[in-house]
Amino acid sequence: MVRPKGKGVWYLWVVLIVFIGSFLLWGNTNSVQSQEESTCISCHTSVKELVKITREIAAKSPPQQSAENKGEG
Amino acid sequence: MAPLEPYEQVLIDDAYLEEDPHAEITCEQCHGGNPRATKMKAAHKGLIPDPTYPDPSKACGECHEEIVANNKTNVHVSLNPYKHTIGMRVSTKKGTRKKVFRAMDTHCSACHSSCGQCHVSRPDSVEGGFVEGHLFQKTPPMDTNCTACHGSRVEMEYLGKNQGIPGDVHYTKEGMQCIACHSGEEMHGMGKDYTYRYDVENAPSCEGCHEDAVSPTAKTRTHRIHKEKVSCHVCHSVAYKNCYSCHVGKDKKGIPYFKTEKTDMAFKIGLNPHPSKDRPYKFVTLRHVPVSAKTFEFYVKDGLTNFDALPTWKLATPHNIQRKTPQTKSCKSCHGEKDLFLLEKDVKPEERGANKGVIVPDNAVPR
Repeated sequence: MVRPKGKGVWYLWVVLIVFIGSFLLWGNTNSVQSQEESTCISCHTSVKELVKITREIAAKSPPQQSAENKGEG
Repeated sequence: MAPLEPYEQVLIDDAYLEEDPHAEITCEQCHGGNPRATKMKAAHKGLIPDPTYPDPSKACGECHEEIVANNKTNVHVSLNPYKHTIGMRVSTKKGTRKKVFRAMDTHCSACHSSCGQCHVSRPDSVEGGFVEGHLFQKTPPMDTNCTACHGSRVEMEYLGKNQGIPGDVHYTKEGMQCIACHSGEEMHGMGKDYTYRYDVENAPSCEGCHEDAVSPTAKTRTHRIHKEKVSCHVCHSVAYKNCYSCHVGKDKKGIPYFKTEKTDMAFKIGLNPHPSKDRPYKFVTLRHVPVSAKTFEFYVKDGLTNFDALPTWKLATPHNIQRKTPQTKSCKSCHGEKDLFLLEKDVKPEERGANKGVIVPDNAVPR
């Protein structure tokens, strides 16, 4: 009578640990995965892409600093 | 400091994604925008380039609660001493004050820092850009961050970049970086709203390390004699940069500009404008700051009618300390050496009123 009950509790613990472990692992991989899938990351880790885009922006943008600046700031 | 290439400014290093614990937070959690959009314009809609300025509580506060709590009074963020100082010179007329402060917002207030502009990117004032591919820097690097803003005076002095003038012994002999004296606690503030930067309580002092030099039993006789009469810099620093007459305005395209008249290298000892418990000295080194009564003339006439409220030669702690200087050669190198002192003749007539408290009268030059 006692033995099956003890075994049942043991199984329950194993199931619980596996469940919590999977949950934590899922949470972690999910965060990394979502970063990898993000266009922010795919664009901001690509030199080629950034060079292309920043050149386009620079061609359209007005100068940021005045040519009349004179002396030390 | 040369700015980074535009692509370098925003290039994320793979090491950031692999090693930095901050990468566990998704981009949009701090920066907003739309990570699912495939076009730049759509992806950047609602983007927050620096999520740590002006309020870092959302981006940093959850983990760095204590530091963020002091952010509002952090002088690198609030610029409070600076605003207070200019504010003292401004006219009391309400409309005029408004115009001056608006001009300050356009020209001066851009030179602030933030959590991100110390620990992730170069400051905006030098066009920003990641220091190391978005990897968070526990200690901001001296060359890309501290001296990016504190360049023309502190960097030039400390590293010995002023022609013919040696660098600070703490750097040339010991290689000490800014952080060796200026701690994180000092940089982050203590939650106290200072109106004067030299009042910051946890700022460094020479005595903090050189305790023996100021003890009553100091080995060096001149230390025992001059203690509390002159600041350490009076004997141990050399010529430093002084700036004059900054004017601000907007050019034909509407872009803000500044013009400073000249800079010179000089060493001037004057009367202490702000004696305190930590700086009780009678004599201190003074540096001319670039303010002029007409600094904001482009925006408003007679903006600084209380110009004389503060000196234009201000208490300075030049970062070019030497063990031996021209002043330490002998007693006579300083005593009676009028050229070292800020005399009335050294000050422009229109600035004599402002500097009356720091000009050394002829009969007060130590004999």
